[in-house]
Amino acid sequence: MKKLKIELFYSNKFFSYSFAKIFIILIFFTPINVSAQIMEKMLDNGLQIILKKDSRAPVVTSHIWYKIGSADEISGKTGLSHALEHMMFKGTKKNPGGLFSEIISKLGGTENAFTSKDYTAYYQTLPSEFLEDAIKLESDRMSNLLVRQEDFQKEIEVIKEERRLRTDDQPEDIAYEQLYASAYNNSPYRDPIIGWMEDLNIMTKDDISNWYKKWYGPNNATLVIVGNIDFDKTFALIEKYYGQKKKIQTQERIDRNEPPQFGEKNISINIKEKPSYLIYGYKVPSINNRNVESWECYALSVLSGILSSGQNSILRKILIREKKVASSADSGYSMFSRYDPLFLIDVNVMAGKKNNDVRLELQKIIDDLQNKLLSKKELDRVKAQVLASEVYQQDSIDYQARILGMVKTSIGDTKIIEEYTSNISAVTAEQVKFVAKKYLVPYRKTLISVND
Amino acid sequence: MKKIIKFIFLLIIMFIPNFIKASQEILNYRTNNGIKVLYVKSENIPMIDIKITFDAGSNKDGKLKGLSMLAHNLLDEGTKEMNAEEIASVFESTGAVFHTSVSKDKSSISLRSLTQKNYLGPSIEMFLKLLSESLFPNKELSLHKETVISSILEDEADPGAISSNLFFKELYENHPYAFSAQGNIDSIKKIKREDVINFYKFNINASNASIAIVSSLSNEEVIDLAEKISKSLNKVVKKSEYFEKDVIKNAKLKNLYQKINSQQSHIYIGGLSVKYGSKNQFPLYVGNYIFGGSGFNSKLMQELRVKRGFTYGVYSYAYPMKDIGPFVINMETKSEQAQESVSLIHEMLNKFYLEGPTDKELEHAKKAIINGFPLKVKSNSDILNYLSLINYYNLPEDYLDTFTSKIFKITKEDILRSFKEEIDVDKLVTLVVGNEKAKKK
Repeated sequence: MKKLKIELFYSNKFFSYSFAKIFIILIFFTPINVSAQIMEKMLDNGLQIILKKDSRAPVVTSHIWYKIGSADEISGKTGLSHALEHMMFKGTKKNPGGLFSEIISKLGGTENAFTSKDYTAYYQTLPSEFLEDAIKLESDRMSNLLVRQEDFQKEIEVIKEERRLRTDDQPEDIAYEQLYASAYNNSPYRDPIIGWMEDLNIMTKDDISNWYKKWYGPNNATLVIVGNIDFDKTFALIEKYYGQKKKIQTQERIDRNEPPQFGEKNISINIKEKPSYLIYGYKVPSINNRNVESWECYALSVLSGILSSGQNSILRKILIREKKVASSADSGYSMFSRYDPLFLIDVNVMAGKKNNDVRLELQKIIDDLQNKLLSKKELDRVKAQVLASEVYQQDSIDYQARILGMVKTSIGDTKIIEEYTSNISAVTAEQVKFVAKKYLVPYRKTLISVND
Repeated sequence: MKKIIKFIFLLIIMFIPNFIKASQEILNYRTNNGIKVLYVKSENIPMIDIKITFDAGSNKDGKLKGLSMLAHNLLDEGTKEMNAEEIASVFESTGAVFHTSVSKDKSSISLRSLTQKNYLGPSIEMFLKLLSESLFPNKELSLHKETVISSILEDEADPGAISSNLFFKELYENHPYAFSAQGNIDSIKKIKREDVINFYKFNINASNASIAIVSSLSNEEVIDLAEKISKSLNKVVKKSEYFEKDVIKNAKLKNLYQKINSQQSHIYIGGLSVKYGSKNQFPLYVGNYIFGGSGFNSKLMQELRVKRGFTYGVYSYAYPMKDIGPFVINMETKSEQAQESVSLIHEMLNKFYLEGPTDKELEHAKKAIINGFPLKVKSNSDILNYLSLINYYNLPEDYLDTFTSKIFKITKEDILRSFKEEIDVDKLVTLVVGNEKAKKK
């Protein structure tokens, strides 16, 4: 069906949206025009700052990104980063309870936060004349959060309701969670962002405040501000409120590298009433992976576009139109993840058809990609869409801030955004064939098949 | 990735802030064959957004539920000279995005394209051809019918969709608003190519259309484009043979429970509210904003999420439509506390109904709404949606100019009156969908 991705992106009607799936969407919407006015700086205490001017409307969006996510958690303590994100709305000494949210709302602003495997981010979007209020409030809760038992007791119940709503009662999300848990033996991407219910049941207030002390400080954060701003004035505001913040002791992150896989993992699960559904995950590199050349990541991005971007993409054309075995099909790959991610393909099986029908057709598609070169027309189709979306994205200041924050936090260098389009344009048919052959293979593959 | 498309009205499209007028000039034009065009020039980005809005939503489906959505989705599936693949190929190779959407009242056909000539030329040409030459081929129709049926089956496994569909069915009974725009399996199976062609002829035509454009093009270029679009549309003026009956404002008290296998229960409580343009629309909006329409700061959210930890989200909306729109409260919670939540919501609504907001709450809401105007038109796509709304509801010339003062003037008494006049709290539909633990003892 058309337009699914957009729906998802705007669906975070309430707080604390777990960001797992949005990741996938970012791939082909990634680049933005960085030739626009942009400034990057770092404060002495290590706070990274990115400012970008967009004066179309008298509004501004201010994001703070912490490099802390579910990938930093350990067994038995899953869901900590996300739970902390919820507790961040419980107030400080200076701004107790919900005063933060109340002030932003009164100023006509909106605010939200999201947690992913790699990061936790908070943002306010509001009329630009009130930017100082947002900076003041956000800087306060970087170091002065009050984690109180009575707040925690209630909030952990809210989080469990969130888990029931977004995962336990959503068959496709259960399959997604099972995919990661089954694919990985050691990678920290194994566990769900929201945490296992079993871990949420034993989480304590002290777990939260320790996590907060360990990771929240200027030298583990990036402040991104996009909108109708003056660079000097904005920078002065940031110095005023963040300049005095003390560095936290930097934490060493343990590399939990994924050991080799010995064959394909095929897992069948049953979920009542859910029409048949398949989700595939192949272990592929992130742009951070030093052992592969970066063009492989761009070729994987193009491969995903070939499979699922637009009406003429291979999955739609073959699985839906020609073979009529699927009612919808999609793929996703995010090269901008901190650790090696999964290349995903998911398929809703057409009523009356079998999972095996899809498996056979999909295998033929993969065989073709591994053995035949794509035509220039097919490559150009994907590249044109990437180029156009680079322009379209400039329409949203929130989106621009998200890309900058995500890349800075997970990759460390925003130059990669600038180079994205030309790197995509440089991908050849041989390269796409090469990555299909190297990565879409049994010893990298996990398949969750729902209601066979 | 596939995701539920829940029937949630977008609250933000309700008001048109005066900010548009303050900083953006709206060009008002009428084409030679009478189509209203609104245009805002936005020079910074070399792109164009076109949205043609029709009075052709699912309320025009007649007996064949899902017909409007099928007709719209089939628009880019074949013309005399080109098949679906070739059509998609034109848009994809120029980076253009063709999109249609159908809601209960209105429908739209949109195009987003780069304005660089070598991209814009082919994408516009294709767009115009689809408007005038679509054939709705049989083969594509049957494929679409199959995918819609699959999608309906997906919804039947989704507690959110099940509860929302059931709620609207109970609230609106025989009125077209009772039905999902997607249709149902029986109705979809019955739809033939002839039905689609007739629907297009009688509903998606020039007499039923308005155009909104936001782009970096000059006024002359836009006027030229608007004329081309209007010429491409069907001229049939004959009114649709389907007509909607007015809702008789006769809400019924209903307390319902539907058993499904789920961890959480979905709660819907609501009744009928107002038509678009009602004098109570503004006070109702502000009142609802305070009660359950402002996210985290609303009374519902504060009580049920912040104070009690009962839910991830609870909200309410009073949505004006062409005919009488709904007033809805929605929440999800674990089944054990579903009935307690229902009682709490009823209590809160009754209290609000009698006492209205406090002075502080009202002042806060007015400030938030007035300060927040610029946010609602911060992007081209935001502006486009507002233009299309002005068109569709035929809003008066001074609508924008008087908006701020209208909000500013609203009093507690206005809110109390509007709730009393429009929402009958003694005749609400209360629906709980969940496992056995959610059932009333």
